[in-house]
Amino acid sequence: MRGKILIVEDYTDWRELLSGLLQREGYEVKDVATLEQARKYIDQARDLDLAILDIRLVEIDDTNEEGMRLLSEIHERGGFTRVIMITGHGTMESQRKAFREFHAFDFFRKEQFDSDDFRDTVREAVEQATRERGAWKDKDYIRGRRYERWQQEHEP
Amino acid sequence: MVEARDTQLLDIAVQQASRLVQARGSAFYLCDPMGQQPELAAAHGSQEAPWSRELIQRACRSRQAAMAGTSDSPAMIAVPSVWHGAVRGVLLVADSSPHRTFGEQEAALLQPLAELTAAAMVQAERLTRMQAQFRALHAIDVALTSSLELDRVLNLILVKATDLVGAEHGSLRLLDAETGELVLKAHLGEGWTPEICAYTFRLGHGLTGWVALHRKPYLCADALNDPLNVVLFEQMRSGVAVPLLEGLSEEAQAGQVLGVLLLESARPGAFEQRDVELLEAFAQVAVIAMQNATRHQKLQLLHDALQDEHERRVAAEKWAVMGQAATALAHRINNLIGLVPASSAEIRRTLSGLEIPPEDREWIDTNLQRIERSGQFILRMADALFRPFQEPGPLARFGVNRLVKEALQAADPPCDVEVMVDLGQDLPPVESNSLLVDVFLELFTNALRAMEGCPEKQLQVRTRAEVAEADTWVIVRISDTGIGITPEKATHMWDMFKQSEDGVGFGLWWVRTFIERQGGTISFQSQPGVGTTFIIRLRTAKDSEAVKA
Repeated sequence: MRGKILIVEDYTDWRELLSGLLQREGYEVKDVATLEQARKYIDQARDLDLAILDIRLVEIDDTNEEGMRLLSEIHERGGFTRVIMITGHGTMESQRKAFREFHAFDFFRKEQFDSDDFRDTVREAVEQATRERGAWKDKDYIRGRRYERWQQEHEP
Repeated sequence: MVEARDTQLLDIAVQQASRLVQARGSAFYLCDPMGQQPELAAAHGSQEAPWSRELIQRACRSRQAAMAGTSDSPAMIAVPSVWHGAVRGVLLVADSSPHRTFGEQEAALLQPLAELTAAAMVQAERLTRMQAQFRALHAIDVALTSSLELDRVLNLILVKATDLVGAEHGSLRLLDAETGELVLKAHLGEGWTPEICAYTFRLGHGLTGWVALHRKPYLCADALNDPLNVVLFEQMRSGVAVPLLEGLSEEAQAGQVLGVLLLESARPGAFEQRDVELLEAFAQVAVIAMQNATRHQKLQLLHDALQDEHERRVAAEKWAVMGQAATALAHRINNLIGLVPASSAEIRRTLSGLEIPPEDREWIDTNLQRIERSGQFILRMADALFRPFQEPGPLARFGVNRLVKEALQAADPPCDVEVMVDLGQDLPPVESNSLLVDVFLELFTNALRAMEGCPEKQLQVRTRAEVAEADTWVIVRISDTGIGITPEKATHMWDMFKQSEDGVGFGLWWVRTFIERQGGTISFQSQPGVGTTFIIRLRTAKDSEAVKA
């Protein structure tokens, strides 16, 4: 098992394309269509390496409250989890949000989707997450609520 | 002058004259003050005619009763009709009965009648004149208050004033408060050449200038010999000018001079003090009409401005609604069509690991390429189509020079293109969003494309600040030495579906829409075979300070 990935995407075709693509690469993939399903999964999942989120699902309202909550939950569970944002309508603004507000690892546009680039990015993200997950486990900081302490030690 | 001839009155007078002295015939001759031949105005018992002209003229000249009559010719008596020393006419009585004569006794009887007739005539004349003037003033009032366009009002004022005093020539000048010159606004009569029209009077200069300076009317009986007069028309012999004063005449001293109304006539002494008074009264109405027209004009401008603003707002609202719809649609298209190249790439990838006969592989590949190409085209088109509606991000201040440099870098001109950049120093920042760089990029890309295959390739970019319409603008000129735009193409330059070889036909349409949405303008000048220049004017941020280039 090379890594655990969650895909949150409401377009079935894209969800299936992405999850099929990643499964064929050997990842353990869970795909869901809504934020609620995503939250349920995060609640019981451990060691999530990568979450791939459609930015439009996260950006439900102006304050992005729902989306931000999901993101903070993801980070609480595991500070090592990487996030990749995808969008069907990429603007400079959504890109800025992805990086600045959601601290995304990378940002992909469906209208310019390059699957090779996507594969490489996912590999890199999962590798980083796995490495950090190891350090996390080694130090017995299994539970995400100790993330802050962990963060203080790792990112002075 | 008002021509007044009450024939009924004169008919009665001549009948009374016959009855008074028991004569068979009588007549009344009107005497023209200009000294022309007396003219028959009424007659009674015309078998007694012809009337002796000699006798009439004698009575006229002497201002006394004149008598004639011999055994051969009928007896006649002519009595002048005098009013205030002026002979208005001659009352003539004749009787061809044998032995009839007229003497002092008849003269004494006829004299009061002749005088009364003169008085009645004058009164009738006055009445007629007053009626005419009243009608004229009323007509003026109606005409002026119902007309609100300033130029039309000024013309109307002049026409009516000319009618009112029986002038043949007239001009209306308004005082330009800044230059102190009386500028011609309306004129009437013959001989107004462009040179004469362009002639202006300064305060105190000429008759008009005198009237404007002293705020008093001026009656000029002998135009050619009046030292005040500046002769513009040689044939004009007399004139009258009144000031157009703001406020009522009592407070005229406090009021401002708006202009001067000058009326002229080819007749010497054509105007009287009464005409002056009439014109002064008329000027008050005229000024009110002018002020109404000016106010109306201001209101109209205000109304137009509000209308524009309203239209802009409605357009902005429409745009916002369209933008929401467009964004949703763009999202959907990207999601659906974006899947095509992505899925196709997956097929290609999977196939690469399989063993397939080469001709089949080629066929599959060709078809995949077709699918991908179409998908990409739709995506590009959707991108171009929805770009104007895109949430452009928050407005921010941008230094145009920096964006121009960024766009130039992105356009990446080939090395055989000579790029000349002339960036103005200390340009104020413009308020826009990050898409502005795409505008420049689009124009640079177009310019480079237009120069492909041209022997001389020169791309010039120039930025400058310019103050116009109370705003500061940043002007960007982008010139190329490309193939240029033919006049036929130029007319459809900004159309949405102007298809180019490899584009989707939205580029310039989007550029213009984007710039105009932000209150700027874009235009171009082109000469086929020589090149094209695009000129972009961008609104600068309010209270902005210059950005170092």
